[in-house]
Amino acid sequence: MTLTRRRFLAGVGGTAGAALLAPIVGPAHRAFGAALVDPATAIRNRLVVIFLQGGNDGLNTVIPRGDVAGAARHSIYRKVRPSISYAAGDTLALDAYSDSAHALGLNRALPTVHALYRSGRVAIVQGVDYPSHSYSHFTSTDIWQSGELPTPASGWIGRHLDRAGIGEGELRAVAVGTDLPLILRGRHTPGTAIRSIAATEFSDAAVKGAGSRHATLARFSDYPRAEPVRHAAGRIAAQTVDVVSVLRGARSPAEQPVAVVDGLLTARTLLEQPLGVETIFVRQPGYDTHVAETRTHEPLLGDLDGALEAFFLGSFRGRALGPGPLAPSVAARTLVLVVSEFGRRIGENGAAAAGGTDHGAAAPVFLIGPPPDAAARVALVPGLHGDHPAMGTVALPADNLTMTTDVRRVFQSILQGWLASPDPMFESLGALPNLILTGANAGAKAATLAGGRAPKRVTAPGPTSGAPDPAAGADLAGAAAVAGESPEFGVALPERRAAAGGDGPSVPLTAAALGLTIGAGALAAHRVREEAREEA
Amino acid sequence: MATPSSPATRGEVARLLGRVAFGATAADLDHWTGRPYVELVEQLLAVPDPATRAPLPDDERRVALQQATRNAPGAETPPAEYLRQAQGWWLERMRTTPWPLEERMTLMWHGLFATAADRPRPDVSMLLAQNQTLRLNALGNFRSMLAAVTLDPAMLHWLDGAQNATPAPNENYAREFFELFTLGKYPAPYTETDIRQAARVLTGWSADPNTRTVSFSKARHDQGTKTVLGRTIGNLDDREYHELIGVALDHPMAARFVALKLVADLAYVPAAANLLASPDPLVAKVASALRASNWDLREAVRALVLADEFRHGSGADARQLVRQPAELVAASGRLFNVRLDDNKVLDVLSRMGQRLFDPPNVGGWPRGPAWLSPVTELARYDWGIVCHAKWNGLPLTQRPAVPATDDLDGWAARVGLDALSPTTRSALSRYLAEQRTAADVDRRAGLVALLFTSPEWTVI
Repeated sequence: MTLTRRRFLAGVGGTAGAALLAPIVGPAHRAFGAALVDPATAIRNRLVVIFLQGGNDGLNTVIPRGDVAGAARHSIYRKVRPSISYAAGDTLALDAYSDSAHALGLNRALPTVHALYRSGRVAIVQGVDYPSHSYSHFTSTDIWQSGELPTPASGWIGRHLDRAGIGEGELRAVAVGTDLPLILRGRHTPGTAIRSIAATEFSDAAVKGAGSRHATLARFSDYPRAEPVRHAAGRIAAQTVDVVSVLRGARSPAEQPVAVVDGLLTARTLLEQPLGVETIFVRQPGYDTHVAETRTHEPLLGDLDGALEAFFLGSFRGRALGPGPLAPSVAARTLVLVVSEFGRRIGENGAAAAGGTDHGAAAPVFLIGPPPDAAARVALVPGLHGDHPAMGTVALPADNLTMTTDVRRVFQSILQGWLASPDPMFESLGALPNLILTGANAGAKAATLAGGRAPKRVTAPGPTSGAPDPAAGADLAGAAAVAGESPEFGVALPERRAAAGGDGPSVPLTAAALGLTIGAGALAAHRVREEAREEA
Repeated sequence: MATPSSPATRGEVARLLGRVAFGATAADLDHWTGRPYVELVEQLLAVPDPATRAPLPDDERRVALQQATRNAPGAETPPAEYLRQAQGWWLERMRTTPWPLEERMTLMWHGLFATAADRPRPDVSMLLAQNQTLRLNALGNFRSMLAAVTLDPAMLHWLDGAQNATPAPNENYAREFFELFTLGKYPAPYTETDIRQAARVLTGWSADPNTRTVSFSKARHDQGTKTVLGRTIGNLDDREYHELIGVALDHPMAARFVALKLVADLAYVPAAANLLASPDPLVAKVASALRASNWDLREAVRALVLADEFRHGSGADARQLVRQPAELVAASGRLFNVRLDDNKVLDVLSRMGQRLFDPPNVGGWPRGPAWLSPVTELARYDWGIVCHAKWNGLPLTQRPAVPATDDLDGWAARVGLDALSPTTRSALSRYLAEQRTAADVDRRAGLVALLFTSPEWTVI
């Protein structure tokens, strides 16, 4: 809490110098206390961003499971991906609301996402990209973390921190990982990074004199600004002391062997405590599936799904991890965004035995929100949004999926609707019209809108549609009924999923049936390398 | 205006050795200060040809490790342990080498041609072989290095060159060849079509999983004519990739791009710029040296370290370098005679964000301020505690002397700094005063940890 207090003191008495800092950092202040946290924390909406690093194959994530009028998507998909496509029955149908008309299904490794979808908590925006697409991991990652074109220089969350005017060391925005990613770097204000809650501590914390040593470290922030790089190093030293101080005494989850699961458990543990955390960034690497995609991609999605299961339900592939479901009060204020730097090519490359996909363009984005609540003043409209990109014809398949929704509009929807902090940079583009609703009756309107959305025409890409059609609304009751199965957190539990039935995959949705074990993603990736080596 | 032979200042000695030779010692500072700067430069560059010189005991250890890890599948030692052994081996090499510049450049090329261990069973043998390939070319010719890397077995697997066959080429290596190895995106002078054409050029190669022998298959190679960057490449089968390298390196962007990489790794991270229209002045100088010497890397490094922007690089112009973790660890190992091949060291280095032979992605490790985060800061601090404890635990005969704990000037020199800033000196003096009644060993441990996290040691 040191920084919050430091900022408070600065606000009251002018400059908070080193003299003020010294007594705060000492051992007497190790215990964290909610009293020092910005009181707004308790009512603030929270955002978790999961970045699928390497370029997630959108077409094998949200899968065309049938042809629709004017677009033979499934036929094209099966034709150009002879070794790495899924039959319709091997996908989890997106069949809530009027979505079934789009004939799309989730990858079978995403049962938790599917259950959340059926509970009215998932919005999928199709065909998301930015103009003048770059196929470079690095350029595209920067743009997806910044929204700034053509030269990304600050993060879209970082600029929100600039507008919010938070201080260094305040745990408002946290990356779980080693580095501080661009997304959390504002023009003036950085977020922070932690490896885990437990690891955010000095190894000599219990050795006599620690308070004096660490206070010295914090004083490096006085290094003159005239040398900006060394000044930055000094500021990081002080920020480190602050972050350690804030997290000292905080509850910490048991470490998990799968990194993304560990990251999301850390995320929810941060959100469940009064630490002032608003935004969390977690990265899942490995999605650069140039070879043998059938054996690499699905286990990665399985790990992601398991991480979301851990986040929302407190279990991993049905096995309880301890914390139980995400506290309802936190769930009601938490939005999860799942993105990647690009999708992949429509057709596969290489020999059939080791088919993968090269870097592509547009891809779907996932938003997972609170359980539906008619009284909510901010609400996510679940279901499919935007238009599916054109895929050409069976005779002449397209090479790539082109943008139908600008990612900056997704960012602005979240910034404006969810965080009440619209970015002037995105003002001319605007938020998407019906992705996140605000104001009185937002929750009720979202439910109506979700249930009432008419099937979209798919023949031509155009501006994002989503205008409500009052004539259709039949699916609302069904969606609400699914959500009602577990009213305390709004997710159908794994054993209930099979009962939910529908036209999902023919195998029961158990971890064993999916051939998944802990760390399956990493193991499968290795197996593929080994086999590729032998084939070569 | 200083000339190459004008006397080196203490700060110039500290900066040069800190950036390209795993740090200065107090003896280095005393010896080289006042001597012609160029003499120190030439001494660093005087590396005997690694292909013909007598091997060090260290080289033999590497060869043995390569053999031991060759048939890792099924072996009793877990491959992760082999990876740790390889990491420890390399850190020890950095600490003890008589040619620190060569090792520093090998580390730089590992970052550029970033190739990682596959998990959970890394093929450490291939990575060690690649490491030696990088060392053989570290101060050699960039064109030869590119040719060697393109057909390097570890690279053929890492960027799927071994999976690249006609009629459906795999673009992975071709894209990174342009973006990460030769031309970059400042701005990118190549198109998606160039990438696809280059992928066709590179079809047909594979590496035997057991012998690591690289072979070319005419049947898997695209025999057609390709057009890359406006130039036509006819079918030359297994010699064709040399044409691709030539086409790329002939582009005016190439020398500036490679120069940018050298500057960002060895001097400072230049402001983002259009490399053709407004290159950083040091980048322009290094690029000229590369072109004039037909891609001789020794000439490029010489031009780089002799340039005013390097030698007199001012902090106010942000011409400073955040040292990468492996360098910090190697430098402290040299200073305190502390061995680096144990798990405790590797764990701290990993927490600092750098696992050798295991870069985070195809782009290698970040450069410059990206190394600064609370996570890496905690690890840098803890490394001071660990390093001091290791030094303190050495037998007296092996333990290098250190100044009295209160002698801050002595300590600054002892860790290779020419001076302490008034801010840091004031903070450290206050610390020593606050802890004056504490045990000397504890005061000293804290002092080392704080020196290791000071802005002047972190950024050089």
